[in-house]
Amino acid sequence: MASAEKHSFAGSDDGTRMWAAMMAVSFACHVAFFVMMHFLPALRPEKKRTLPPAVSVTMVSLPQAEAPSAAPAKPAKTPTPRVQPAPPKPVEPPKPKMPAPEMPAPETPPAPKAKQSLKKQTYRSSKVVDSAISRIEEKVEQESEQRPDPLQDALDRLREQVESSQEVGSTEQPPKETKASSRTGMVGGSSEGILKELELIDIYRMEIAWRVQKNWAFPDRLAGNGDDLVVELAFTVLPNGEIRDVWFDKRSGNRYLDESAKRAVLKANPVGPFPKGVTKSVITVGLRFTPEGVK
Amino acid sequence: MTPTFKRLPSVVMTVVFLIAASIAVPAPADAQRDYEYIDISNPFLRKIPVAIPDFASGNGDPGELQSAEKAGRVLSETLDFSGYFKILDPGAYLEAPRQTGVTAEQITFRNWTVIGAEMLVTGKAAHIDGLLELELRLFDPFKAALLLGKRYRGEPEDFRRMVRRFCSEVIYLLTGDWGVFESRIAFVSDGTGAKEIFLSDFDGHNPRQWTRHDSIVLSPAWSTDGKWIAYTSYAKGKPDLFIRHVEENRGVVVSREGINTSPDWVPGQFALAATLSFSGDPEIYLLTGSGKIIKRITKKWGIDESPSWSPDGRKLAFVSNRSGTPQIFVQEMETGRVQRLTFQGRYNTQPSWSPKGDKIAYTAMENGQINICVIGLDGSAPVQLTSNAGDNESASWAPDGSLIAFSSTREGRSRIYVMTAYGTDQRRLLSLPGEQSSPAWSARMSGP
Repeated sequence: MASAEKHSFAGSDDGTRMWAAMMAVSFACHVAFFVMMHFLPALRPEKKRTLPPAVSVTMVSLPQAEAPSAAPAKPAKTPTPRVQPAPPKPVEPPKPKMPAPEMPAPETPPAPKAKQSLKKQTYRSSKVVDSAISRIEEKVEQESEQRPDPLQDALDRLREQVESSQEVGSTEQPPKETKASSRTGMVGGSSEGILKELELIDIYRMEIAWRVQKNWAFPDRLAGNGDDLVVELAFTVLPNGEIRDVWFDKRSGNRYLDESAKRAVLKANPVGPFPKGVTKSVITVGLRFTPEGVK
Repeated sequence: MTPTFKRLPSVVMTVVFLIAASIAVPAPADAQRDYEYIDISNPFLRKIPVAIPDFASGNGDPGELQSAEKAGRVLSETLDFSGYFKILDPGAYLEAPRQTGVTAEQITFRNWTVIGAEMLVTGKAAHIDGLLELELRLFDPFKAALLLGKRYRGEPEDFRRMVRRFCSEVIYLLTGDWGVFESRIAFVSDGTGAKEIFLSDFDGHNPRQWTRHDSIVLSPAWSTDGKWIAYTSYAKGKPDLFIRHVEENRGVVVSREGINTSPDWVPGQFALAATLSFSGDPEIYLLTGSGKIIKRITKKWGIDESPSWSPDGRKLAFVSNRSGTPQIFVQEMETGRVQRLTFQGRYNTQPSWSPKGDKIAYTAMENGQINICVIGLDGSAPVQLTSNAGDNESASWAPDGSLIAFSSTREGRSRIYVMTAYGTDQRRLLSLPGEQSSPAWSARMSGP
């Protein structure tokens, strides 16, 4: 409002009128703004949620093995018959395949734990989350003997978060995650549903990351000592699990590494379909590849 | 109307615009940054999965089929040797380019991406006028793109050279370095009853005896151009330094009083450093390729030996007991400044400077075990590459710095082994009668 200020020095009368006019305009605009916000929820800035800023993930291999019993896995059209025998170096015990993102049909939700705004759009997705979490938990446990894995940490955190948010009411939670986790039980109100959906999406993204990691082939030696090689790429996933539009946000300078990262994504295509309860038409997944190199 | 009100509309417009912008702009930005990055740092597979289906033949006559089969096998072995690749099991292949064709138009890349092949090599061998014509192609199935296509023609028995040349191109594409496929290894073997120098291809193929002193030989060293080898022999009753042309029958013997040992060629020059003790104290000297002393390099009482040049020839690593125990030191040639490099353990010898210049491999004896270690020149801690596998010594770097040859007694007798520069993929290089030791890896040679 620099111009308004400037004019107000011109004369007090003019200044007052100007001030009033400006106030009016400002008020009108604010009203317009909030009205728009209300009617166009899509414009609302998305909340930052759940995932800690950098989920550090040292993905331990997850050779595919028996599918988790829980999931009558969807026609998780599996890509890439994994031909290669175990990798030379780190041979890890087989781990369960990643849980298919979608869950068995929602069951009756547990009793509500806290007050909740009831609106339409009830995703009984808590079940879905729970069982996804429990399967992830299993997985995490099975892998716990192995080297520390940032992805596991992330999953742990995610899980804890979900658990705590289920016990505790909606209010105080760990800072950043609060919004996402503040939902309780099952009866999602619309905002609740959205939060839950976001959580589902995060879990889904993690699963995709696992899957991509599983398909990532890169000789450590090509990264030397792993000095600061970072590739950031992102891609969109359609509801049926099809990967579209892989793009680089940041290249490493090591061409082979860049390509290996992209290939890993392509090899993971298609990933499982969206979990039930996700209404988005497309999900974007960002991955950061940071080969540790040879130690 | 005051000027202010005249201006009002424009002010309003500005404000409205700003508000509109504030609403409109964040939305797309948010949509774009709708994701956070999930970190992935451990590749599931630490090699590149490559498919190498059977090679096709020109018209299918038995000779061609045989050439095709041999070329395919050697190509697999050669790529495998580098340690970068995982050759996919042919049983999983969904397509047989041998029948359907080896060119991009004839390949259904989806058949290869679906089995996880990140690279595909096809080949075709044909006999034309008594010559072998070998077509080799490297594809990226995910891009459905030809990365490399070569046609070689030569004597049928030269198929190995053709395949290696192609593999070198593949490695160059991948690493920017020509790799090791056109290099050779010299080593000492006593299979004939005396210690003699043998030469073999980089992969241990085609070993043949090179010296016939019927005596003891030690520590062969290649000149950078691969044309000369210097070594120590007791053929004349004491350790003398022999400098000999690899192919032709010429050379000189440095036979000064005392010992004349542990040569190492100055990179890119017809000159070498060696340990001579005619002064009564083993010191390192710089010699011409014809054996004339240029100057004395080390000037400290005590034993100084086993010189190894940095790739730029400006520094020299060597072993000295000047601090009480044998340790590795580095001397700058220009200034003469000497710095001790190894401090761990009481016995560190046989330095070998990596062709990349950043590391030195050496032999360390600790707790009765002899192992190969690598130490960075930046003062980083040494890394032990071998352990609990007999005695391991005499590290020699491959010309691209990706592999290290060494001798080991892990299977009882001393034999030559190869591992990656990080200690992975340790394997025996060859199997010959007697014991083998002192491997020396040549530079890349395009000739035979």
